[in-house]
Amino acid sequence: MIEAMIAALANMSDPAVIAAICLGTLLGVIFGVIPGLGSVIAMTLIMPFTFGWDPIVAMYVFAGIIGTASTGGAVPAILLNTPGTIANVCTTFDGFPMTRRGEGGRAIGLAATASGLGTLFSIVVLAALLPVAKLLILWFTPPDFFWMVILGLIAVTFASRQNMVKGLAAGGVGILLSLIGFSSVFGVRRYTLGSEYLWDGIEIVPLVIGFFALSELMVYTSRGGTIAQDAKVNLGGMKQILRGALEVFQHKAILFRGSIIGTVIGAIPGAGGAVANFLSYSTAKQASKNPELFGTGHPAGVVASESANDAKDGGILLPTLTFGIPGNGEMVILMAAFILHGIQPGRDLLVNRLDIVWAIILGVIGAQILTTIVILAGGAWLAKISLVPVKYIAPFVAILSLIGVYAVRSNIWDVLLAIFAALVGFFMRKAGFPLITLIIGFVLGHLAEEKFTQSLQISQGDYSIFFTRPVSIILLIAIVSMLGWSLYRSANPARANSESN
Amino acid sequence: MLLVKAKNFVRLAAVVVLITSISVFSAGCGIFGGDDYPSSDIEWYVGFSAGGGFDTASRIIAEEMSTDLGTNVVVRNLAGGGGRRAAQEIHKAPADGYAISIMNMPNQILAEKIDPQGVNFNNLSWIGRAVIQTYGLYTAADSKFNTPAELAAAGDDIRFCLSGLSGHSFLVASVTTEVMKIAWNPVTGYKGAETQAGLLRGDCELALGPMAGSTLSAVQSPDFKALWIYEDDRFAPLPDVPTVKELGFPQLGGGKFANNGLVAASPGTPDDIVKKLSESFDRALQDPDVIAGINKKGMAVSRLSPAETSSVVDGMSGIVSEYLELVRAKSQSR
Amino acid sequence: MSKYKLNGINLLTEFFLMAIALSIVLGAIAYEGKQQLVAWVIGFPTIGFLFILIVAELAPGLLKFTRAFGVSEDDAPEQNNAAQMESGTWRRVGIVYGWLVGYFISIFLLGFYLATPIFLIAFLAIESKLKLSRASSVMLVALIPCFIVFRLILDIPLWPGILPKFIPGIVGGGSIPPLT
Repeated sequence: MIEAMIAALANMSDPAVIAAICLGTLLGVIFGVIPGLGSVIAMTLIMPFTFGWDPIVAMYVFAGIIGTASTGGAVPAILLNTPGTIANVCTTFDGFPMTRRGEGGRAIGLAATASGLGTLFSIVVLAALLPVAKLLILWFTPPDFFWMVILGLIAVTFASRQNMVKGLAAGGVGILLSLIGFSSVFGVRRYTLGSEYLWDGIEIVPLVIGFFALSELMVYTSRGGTIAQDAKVNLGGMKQILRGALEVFQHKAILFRGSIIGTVIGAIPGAGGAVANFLSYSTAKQASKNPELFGTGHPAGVVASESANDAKDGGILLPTLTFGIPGNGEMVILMAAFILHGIQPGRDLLVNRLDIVWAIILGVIGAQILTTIVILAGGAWLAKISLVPVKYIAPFVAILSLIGVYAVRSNIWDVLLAIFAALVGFFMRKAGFPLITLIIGFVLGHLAEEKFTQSLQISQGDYSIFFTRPVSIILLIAIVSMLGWSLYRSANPARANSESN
Repeated sequence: MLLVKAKNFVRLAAVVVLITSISVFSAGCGIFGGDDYPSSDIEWYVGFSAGGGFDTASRIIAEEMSTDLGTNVVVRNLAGGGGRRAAQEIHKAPADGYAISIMNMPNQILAEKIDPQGVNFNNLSWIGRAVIQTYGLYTAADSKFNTPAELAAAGDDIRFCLSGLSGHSFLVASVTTEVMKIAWNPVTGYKGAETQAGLLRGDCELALGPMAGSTLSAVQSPDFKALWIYEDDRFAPLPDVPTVKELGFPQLGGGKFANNGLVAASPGTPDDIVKKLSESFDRALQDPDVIAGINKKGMAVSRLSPAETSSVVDGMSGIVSEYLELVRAKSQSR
Repeated sequence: MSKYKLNGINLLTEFFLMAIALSIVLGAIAYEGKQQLVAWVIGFPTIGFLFILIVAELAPGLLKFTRAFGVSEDDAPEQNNAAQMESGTWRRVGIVYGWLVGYFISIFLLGFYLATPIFLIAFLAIESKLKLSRASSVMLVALIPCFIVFRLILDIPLWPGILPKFIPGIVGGGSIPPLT
């Protein structure tokens, strides 16, 4: 293992490898910045071009895309309240208010640095756990997955503490919407009204683009002016970027917790960056002495969100590299790339192709460092977008968003869905319903059902399977504790805050 | 002077109109079409997302056919409905040979029979078979089960790790357990390497799948063992694994449960166009680079003529119809 | 405490979400056993929450009971900065949404390659009040590189519109995916 790492490090001075990392970084950032496109499309598009390349060089390209897309996605999240990827949704909560006050550069500095550190943490964890990863994956069973997913759903109550009923209602609607479509678990189509379009369920990208990008576009375009509240505000240039970058270290606990959450959640197939993002943000808010500051442009909110969504990169590589189990769309494409280049994912990779494993690990690290530097260097210029009148920005956001939506599966009805979701999202926001809880419910709802059903099939109908495994018991205790603390805090806010202090 | 100019203009306009009319009429009638085919890009629909086995095989073959036919053969991913969207597109595409599609059979036949959407696979203009994947049954290496008799005598329900309560693996599991008299229960939600993790964890006792790619690698490793192959002849990569025919169940063999990647044009495509397409397709499948590329993806090239492909489809439709009620009954009983 | 006013937007949204929840909960009757489980376990409480919210809107006198659940006349969105959500007048919102709908209709009919330049020029000229010549220049500068990257280099297929096939893959010949 160590020899392979040293050999891979030496390999990084190869011009082809450097070029591959740069290409991966460029693609990852561009596709991350444009709402709706994302890393999956970037990897899918570049894959045929890599046929015939040295497999190691090809892997550096893919690793670069994986490591940088959600960092790139933070930029529109901060500047335009439009998450570039689903994993950047929570970054809008505090990043955009900072932009409105003329502190977009500071937010970019925070995001780029937190992303970089989150990725580095998770990659170190990945490298350390590789020798025992197979045991960990086998140890975690479907009932444990089920409680993990429930934990994610419970976090919805934290995010909506000031508005609990609306948050829970939105989360519930999200879960119900996730049930639409063909269920392979049951072998039936449900709630589709006979629609062929809904056979695969509601596609998440049009939903997220509609809810966040397009409804936000309706808000600021109708309002006019600039995104920064004061068009004459001094953005502070590079000084503000560096201030943000260094400020991350004032939130070490949040950074560390977000990185852990991202890594752990990333390792759960199906959970993904959106859940990591959300859980980290919610727990940071829950644990904060000043939770009321979250959502107003609090730097801690950006740190919590961005550290987690990038830390998921290391987590998600764990089941993929060790077992060939893809945790999300990125990993599915990565595995396809393995096979295209004659590499067998899973056992063979760890035994015979450690050079590939280290290429991916070092590729993610290299690309993330490069992205952080590039975004920090370009952040001052990017922040100027907040001073451009929205009437010039709006059509480009609309065009890129709808192209992104269509590119997912080449279905024109997805574009219509995004337009409809924009209207629904606008009204929900006006009415005070948190959209993020609907999205989390949507992402986790069908996963919870799948793991619940799977667990009962394993136990052949015996419900005790949910309460007998050590990991399940630990998770159950965590869930009950979190619920209890949340209710206690709601009922006794003053007392709870003084106890925190 | 003005009169001369006007006359010239009228003559010119008349010539333009005449040429345009002939061109449009000819294009509509295919007068030029047949001889000049193909005169523009051919679209190859793949009903799955990019990166999968059939998608990559399609791209490899399409590239070779582009060179052979002298026109672009462009792969278009129309993911949706488990391949149904592409099947519907090819079913309603104009019968001019400019749209073809690869289909995952008998999976899509089963899906259509369970939830009909008006696609008649027997009506498509079949071009040939690109790839085939042999189906097999496997278990963890330390499993106490080795033969059908042991499974039948197990007493408790044997759990199968499957992707879901429909689809190819559920069909094969339903038929296998019915024929071999094995009491069983499905455990769903397992795809690819998750199936192997499930077997090692003890979530289930058995799994089914195409013996290709990562599944084949797993079965060849010390962690797993294949119990049988759904063929009449031994499978070269697994020479020690018996066939269902050898085990006394020939009705499960003959490759009728293999995964097939079949390519078709829309119904009613003229015979001469189908012939051109199938010949180009067949030449592509004989190219060493194409074969190597497809093998890398864990699949085997297995050529069939259009008539043989059509016959295979008819056979698959028959098998699916034969066991459809069994599959329905088994899925509804869960 | 200020006098509570019925908020039509809140009510409309709550009824819409209630309609979604009710249709799935009622639709679950058609399925069996565990297929219904999640729909009912989640659906009934969701309907309950939405009912509380609707009651809170319609019967302000009951607010003192709902305040314990976090519902009050000072309800704030999750991003609890009212100014951030502050949009323009309803007329302006309608106009912006109209642009989005119009863009979609033109994409559907003409395809991305025709509809996008038309939309961009029209928006920049009418909404952004740029001169037509300047709007056209911006359109060319912005869209030509996009075309080169998306179409020529990456070959991302974009919807060509439902017109008869004029330029294959670019204008016309789009096959409408099934909706029902």
